[in-house]
Amino acid sequence: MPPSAEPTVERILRRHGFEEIGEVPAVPAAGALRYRRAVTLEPGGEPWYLRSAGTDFTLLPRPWLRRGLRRCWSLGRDLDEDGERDGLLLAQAVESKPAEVRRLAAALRQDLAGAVTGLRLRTGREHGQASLWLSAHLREATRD
Amino acid sequence: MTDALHHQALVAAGLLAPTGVGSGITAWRGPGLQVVRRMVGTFLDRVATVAPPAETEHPFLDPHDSYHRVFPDYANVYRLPEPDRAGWVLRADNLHLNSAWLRRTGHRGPVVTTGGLLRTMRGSGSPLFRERYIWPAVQLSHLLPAGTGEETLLAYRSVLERTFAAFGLPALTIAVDAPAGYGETCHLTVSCLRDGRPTILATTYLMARRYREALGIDGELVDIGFTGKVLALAAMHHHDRFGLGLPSALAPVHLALLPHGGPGGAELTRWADGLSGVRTASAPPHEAAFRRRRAERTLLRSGAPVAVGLPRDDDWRITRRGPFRRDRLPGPPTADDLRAELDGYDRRLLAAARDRFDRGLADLVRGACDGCVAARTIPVYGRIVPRRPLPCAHCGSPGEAVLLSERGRFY
Repeated sequence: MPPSAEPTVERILRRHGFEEIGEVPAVPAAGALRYRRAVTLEPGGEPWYLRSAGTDFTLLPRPWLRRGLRRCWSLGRDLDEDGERDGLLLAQAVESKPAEVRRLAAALRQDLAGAVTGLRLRTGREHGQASLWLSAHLREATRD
Repeated sequence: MTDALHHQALVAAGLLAPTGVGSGITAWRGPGLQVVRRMVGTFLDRVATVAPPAETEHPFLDPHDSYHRVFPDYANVYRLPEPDRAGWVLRADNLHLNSAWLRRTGHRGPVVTTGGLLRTMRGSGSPLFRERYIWPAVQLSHLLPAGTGEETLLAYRSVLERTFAAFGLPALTIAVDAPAGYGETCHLTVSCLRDGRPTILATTYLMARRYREALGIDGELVDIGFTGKVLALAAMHHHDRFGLGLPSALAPVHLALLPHGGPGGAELTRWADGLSGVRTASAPPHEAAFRRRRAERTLLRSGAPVAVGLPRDDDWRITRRGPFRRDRLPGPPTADDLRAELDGYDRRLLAAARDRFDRGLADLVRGACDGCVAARTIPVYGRIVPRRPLPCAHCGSPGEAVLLSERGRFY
């Protein structure tokens, strides 16, 4: 199995209270995770999402929040329209206070700047609370 | 098939997320990813006794044509159609990808990959036992000169049994007729559930000619596969009133430290810093005994086999599991003392699981002769590997040890 994220990125995210979860490259639309790229799979014409870059995703299902898992990240595939690429970092945080999410976004933007490319951050609301979404590629990533 | 306790123990230990993320899709947390890396690492160490392994990971989008060429009849896959093209299969097997990797790199193998596999699923899943997204899916491929396959298969039998023994799981190997003509020879590595019923941990194939031809391979090809079911089974066997108690080969933490609030707390940390090869985690210092006990429960629940505390200066205490026991120590244990503790713990786990295994399989391992097997007088699932002479339980003629299964195949 591939090693975990480049240590700098892992260290930064851990310092900000994020926990790693395993990459799931494809999820059914009826499931608890969601990615930006929606596709229709055969058999059955079933709607699924493929793990892809962009900040329109859900990495934290609501039941996890009740168990204290409020900040997580995963590292893995970017299955976008151009093909398959490794080293896509996705992270999400859900907090009760919007100010905390804004502070976290600013800190991550600054801390990750040297370690990733294509960094995108968005703040908004999910599960009725303030949320942050982060998408970026590790600098070491190479196209297959 | 499974009891819910093993899943609860894995969730409580922080290895799995509290809920899945879709039917048949389990979400792994950071400590769980560490445990999987250790599981694969232990396997690779044992594989190295046969030949130095390479590790790789394949793309998730698998061109439909290359998949279909090798698996023309398999319908349990998800496809992503593309206009005017055959499109993609979402990775459903690693065999053809491993073979292509071996061809591309000129490596003979073994090559090991851990990438997840996505398969369609009828009915409901059972976490880590029956899943739609099968992760980890460990798959080994090894190219061999013609005529050496059977001998190498026996070497891998030992690799698998020793790997699973390191996880506290006893196992035996049986040779069966390969399902769907997949292999010329098929070995199943069999362990047992907590109630003693047999279950399959790994499959090993000497690939059939039609697959070798489809893969463009000269000589022979060994294919080995096992999944996260191994960890589910370990959790099923190895939990106590605190929760999961992982064998030391897998445990994210070997030793839980329980410092008190005074200067002795720092002493405990200094002592632990000097322990090489022992993974430690410390609870926050607590003056109150009930808080230290609560911290101990939390750390033991994460799978740690041993805890050491200093409730007062110069009062060294140890907590052992399997079975649970608290004892005073004459002084700070050395790294060698702790490794001996961990070895003893691993031996106790394996012995307890072996006891269930022996009791569960006692009535299922019997002698059978070729005549009674051919006449289906005895419901034989597979022949024990390596061959062991045993008189036939039905007619008394010379025979060999076999594993019976009244209810046909089990998984």
